[in-house]
Amino acid sequence: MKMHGNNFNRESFRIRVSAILFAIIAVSVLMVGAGTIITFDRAVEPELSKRTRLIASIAREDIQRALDIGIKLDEIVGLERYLGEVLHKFDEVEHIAVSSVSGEILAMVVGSSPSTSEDKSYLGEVFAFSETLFKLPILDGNKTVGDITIKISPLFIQSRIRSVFLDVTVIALVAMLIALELVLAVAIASVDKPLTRIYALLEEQVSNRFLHTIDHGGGGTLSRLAERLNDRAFDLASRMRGLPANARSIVSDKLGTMIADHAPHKLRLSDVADIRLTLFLFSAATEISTSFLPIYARDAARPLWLSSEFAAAGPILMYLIALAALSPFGGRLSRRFGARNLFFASVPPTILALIMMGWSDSVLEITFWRGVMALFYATATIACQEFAVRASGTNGNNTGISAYITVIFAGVLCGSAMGGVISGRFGFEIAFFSGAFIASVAGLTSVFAMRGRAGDPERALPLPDSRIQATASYGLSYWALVIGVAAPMSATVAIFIWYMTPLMLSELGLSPADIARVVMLYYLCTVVLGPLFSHFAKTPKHMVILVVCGALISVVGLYSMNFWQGVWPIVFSVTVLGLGHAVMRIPLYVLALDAGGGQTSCLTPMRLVERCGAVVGLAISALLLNNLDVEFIVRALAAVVLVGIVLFIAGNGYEKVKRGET
Amino acid sequence: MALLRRIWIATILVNLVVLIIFVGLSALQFGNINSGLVGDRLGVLAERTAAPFEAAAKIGLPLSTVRNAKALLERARQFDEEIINILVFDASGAVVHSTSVEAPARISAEAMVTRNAAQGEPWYKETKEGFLSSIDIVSSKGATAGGIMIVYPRGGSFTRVLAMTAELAFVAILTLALSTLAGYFLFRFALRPQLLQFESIEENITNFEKAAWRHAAGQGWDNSLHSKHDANMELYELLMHTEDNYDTIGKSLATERGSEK
Repeated sequence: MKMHGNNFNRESFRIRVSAILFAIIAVSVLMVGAGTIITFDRAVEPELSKRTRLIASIAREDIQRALDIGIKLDEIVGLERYLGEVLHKFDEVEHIAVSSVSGEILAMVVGSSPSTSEDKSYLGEVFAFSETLFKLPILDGNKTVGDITIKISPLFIQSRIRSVFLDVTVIALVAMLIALELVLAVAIASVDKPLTRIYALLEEQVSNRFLHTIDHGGGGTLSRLAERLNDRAFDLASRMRGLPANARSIVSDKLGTMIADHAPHKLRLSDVADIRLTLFLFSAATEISTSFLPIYARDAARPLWLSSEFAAAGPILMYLIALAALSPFGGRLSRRFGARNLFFASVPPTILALIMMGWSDSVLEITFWRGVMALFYATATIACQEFAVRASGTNGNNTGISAYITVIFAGVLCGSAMGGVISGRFGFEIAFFSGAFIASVAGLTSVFAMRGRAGDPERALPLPDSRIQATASYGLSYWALVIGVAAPMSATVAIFIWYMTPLMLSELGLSPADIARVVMLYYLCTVVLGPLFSHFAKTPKHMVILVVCGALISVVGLYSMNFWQGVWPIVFSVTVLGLGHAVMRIPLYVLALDAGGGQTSCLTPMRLVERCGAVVGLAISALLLNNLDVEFIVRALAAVVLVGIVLFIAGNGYEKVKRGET
Repeated sequence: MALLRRIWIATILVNLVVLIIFVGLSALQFGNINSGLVGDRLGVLAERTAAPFEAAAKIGLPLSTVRNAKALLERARQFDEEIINILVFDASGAVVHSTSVEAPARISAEAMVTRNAAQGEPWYKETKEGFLSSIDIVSSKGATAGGIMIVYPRGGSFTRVLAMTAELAFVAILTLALSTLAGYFLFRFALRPQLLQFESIEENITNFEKAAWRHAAGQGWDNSLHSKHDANMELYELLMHTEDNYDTIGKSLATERGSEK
């Protein structure tokens, strides 16, 4: 928004300050992260050595027992077979040998050698892991008759350190995402907002309108100036009140002034960035159980008729159904009561649901409270979406939608990673309580952050943009977009990312932590690449191109599963799918807003179709999985996305022809 | 300078918060990793100790009938002096053998819940009674006949986590100090044009205030007072313009008030 007399480029200043601040914090986190890996490496070594020593002691004791009954060391039958069993039982043992006191090897079994293994990791080269070799003497009475040597594979230690490295990377990522939100909040609160407020008030006063005052934050000369400008409005308003009505109208008419009838109101400016920290915290709080909810639900008490698989999927299904059920009303509620009130009212039930989920013993209770949480998650996030779209009204909706999507996904990433760490250490209950605490902080920040006019009920809002005044119209291009693109995208996420990827990776032997890391790649793509691609979405034509390209990339990601199998192909697919959706997600929402006449209410049918698509897709694929293989379902999903693209292009083309565009 | 100071302090605070979160999460994760390692080690011992009991269970003998059970458990305990207790329990959770004279009658409810959730897999858990590591003993029919549970003190793990946290906190403080110093110079040089612009805004405000009180004392607006960095005088002019508007309206109101009287 270019204002009169403002030669200070606040946007560029905000970007520059945020970039430098973020760089400083990222470097700090990376430095401490490197320190953490080195410290972890050193700290786990004694415990690993203790385990190795224990294995060696057990093997020695078994051999010693044979010596105790009078069998000589070189006469023990099946010594090699026994050593083979030890090697087989403990993966980390690379080589085990029994030798006589003269050094002659009596029995030796060797596993795969890490020195020749192609599986040596890069980490092993960065951190020089020492070879762990244990040599324990074997006694026959008072005489040493030989010794047992055990060598532990450095690959085993490397695999542990690899896991540590990945853990630290995830934590660093969480810290940096939190940093980004804090940095933006600080940069805006300390410099951007005070200046914006001053220029906005000067803009009013230069055209003889003395109706508002502003907060005098910002410190120093800015605060002093804000006080002065406020005082003008207060002074004129009080003097005006002292005049009779006819004198008031004479002054107003003569000078063309507008002076507040009573005390001047505070000017409440809204910015998309206002909801960032609040939405981020709320999203992180509600997603705190993402990484462990299926396990938590599976292990909880359940009725006899409910299988453990269905129990694990129950809360997710309930979550989606509750979201779909509230989709038609969320936007209307937000416009009726105001985004600020709706968000704030959604926080206490969310806190209650999180606490009750932590206290739940049975899967039915967990599912019920997850459903309750989903209802209020829907109202809170829709409120934020409405706020973001309204706040960015005059800047183009791209900014609002882009910020909204990026922040939601960043919150999901942070919440699930934090939930994993906290539940691993303190248990599921504490993880849920932590979520409740973060949700309450989100509620508190919303009180300050959503004070702007974009948070007011619709009847109290002016119509700032000509697009907003247009009536919502759902033309063919809108439905082609919603049914052809939005629904398949949502179904792909539910089927492939939430359901099939964990299933396939689990079958390939990956731990829940590794599965979570792979799934995280999808969200990371949206968080990092989404805002980048949104910069290319300047015109509707660009947006259509981005949507089609994104959908085609997601098809490539899904089809790639046909050509190669294994962990890395799945990682590739998830990443490519994340990339595709990062390209299309923001333009998709902006196109929907444009196609629906620019009204935020036009997002309602889209939300409903999206969520119904996810529920139906998930249910169908869960049913089909009993009879059909995973590859077939993924192929069918890719085909649905392709058909959707054709539908979208056809619908869009028809609408253009109808409007007479070329 | 005021802006630089403000941004610099904000950087320190944000960096501090982020590093506290990072160190906190890292310490928690180290606690998880350390628990896993202790659990793995005790799992090896539990598996070893379970072997003779499993042999008895395989031929259909109840675990309570295993002779010299106490000696078998004591021998296992000698592998690690820190072990508090090794106990054998039957399928219902009743303790049938133990190395401790004050053994509980049953394993705790918490241990029982974790055991049920593990569904026959080896498990470990940190509880109030200590670090528990357990393995099931399977009978000939494949059903569980009971299990072996090792109770280990938590103190060692706690000390290791504290030591790790202290070490990480030291690294974080050092990093914070370095980034604070580097941040100051980085902001100073990288934001030089913006800082100058902001200074010009502040200078304009101060100069406008001077000009305003001189104006009130009868002198005209002094255009030479605007900041040298503000080449097009936008803010200064805007302030003068709005002050004139205020002055004009104020005087009109005063006139109206006078005529009313």
